[in-house]
Amino acid sequence: MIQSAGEDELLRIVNTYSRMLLHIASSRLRNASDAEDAVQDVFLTLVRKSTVFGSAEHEKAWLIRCVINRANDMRRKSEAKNVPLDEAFLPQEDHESSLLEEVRSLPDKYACVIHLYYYEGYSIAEIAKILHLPSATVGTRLARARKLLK
Amino acid sequence: MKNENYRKQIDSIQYDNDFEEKTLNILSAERQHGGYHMSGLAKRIIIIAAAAVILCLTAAASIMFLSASNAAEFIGDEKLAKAFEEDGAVKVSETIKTGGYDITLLVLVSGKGLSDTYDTASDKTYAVISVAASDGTPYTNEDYPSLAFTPLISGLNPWQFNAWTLHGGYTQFCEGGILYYLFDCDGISCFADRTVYFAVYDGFTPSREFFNIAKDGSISFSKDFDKAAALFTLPLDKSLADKDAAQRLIEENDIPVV
Repeated sequence: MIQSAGEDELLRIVNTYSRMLLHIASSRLRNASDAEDAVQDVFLTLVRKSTVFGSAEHEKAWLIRCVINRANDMRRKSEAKNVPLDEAFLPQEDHESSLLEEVRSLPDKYACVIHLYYYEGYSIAEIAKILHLPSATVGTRLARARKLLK
Repeated sequence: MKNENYRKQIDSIQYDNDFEEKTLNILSAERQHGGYHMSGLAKRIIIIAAAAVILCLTAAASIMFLSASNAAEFIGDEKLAKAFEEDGAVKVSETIKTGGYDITLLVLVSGKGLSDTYDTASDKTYAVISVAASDGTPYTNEDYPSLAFTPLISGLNPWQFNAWTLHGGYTQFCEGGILYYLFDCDGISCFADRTVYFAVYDGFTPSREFFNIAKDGSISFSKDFDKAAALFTLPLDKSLADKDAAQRLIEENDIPVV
């Protein structure tokens, strides 16, 4: 059993999962720095909560769920605020026909399924396990998301 | 969907090259100054001293139990400690003996802004559970059993709606030979007009092998489940039920109602 994170464990967890979690966060958040904040928040939660995982698989699934929730929360909060001028003039990604931008504009529950399926390469069954959803629900969400992206 | 385009766009995002190193520095600082691992020694001494006074006053007591409020103080969450003492807290204090454990659900409280540590912007439910060995053997920080904790709602399949769907988690510590778990998840008081359970058992994610749900929606452990299994029925205030909020939670998770 993987116990709460000690120094070596933190090193392993941060080095193993950072990039994957940053990519997941970026499927919801426009700025790379926001994605970095979301991932650091999740790691801080891990340290504060002393979460115990039954296996590496559970550990990974927990981190993925947490970063999806954190990124969605941040997105909802930022949508409720006005964009400050200095942020408005920051260089943005090329939005012309940006598929990433279309995925970001999907409802929360569809975007994460799309990212896990198309970028991380998880199967429907694996996504169902990670998100604790029935496989049929994941399949439905994937189909609806694809339809919305057309 | 052209997934190669999507992949390229994600891969082109520039993150801080030193992200991992900076993150590790932040986490190390948190462990030293914030997390419960490093919670103030003085605080622990105060709590232990207070418990020792109680122990002296209780001649028959052989094991030192912390109150739910003490448990929250132990991990440095003064706000939550206070919330456990207030009128809105549901003081359960029920013990179930199972599989060699004495599992006690001490208290739970729900609401927004109740904690110094956790997400306070949204409605959350917090509970404190203590676990003692039935034979009195003291636990240490090195031997946590593989227990799972989850609220369950009558009428909703346990394997589809549980602590994992409710973003649950817990902080654990051992004190005086007793294990304490401070559990948190999305608020469940919106379901107060149904029977709401809190399950503690030896296992992981709820599955059909672990739980039964009857036609009337009531939930129980499967007859074949032969490990530690405690199912508490929560005495929630029915007036706190919020059918709209409950329905939103159900729909967000695409859960069929039994």
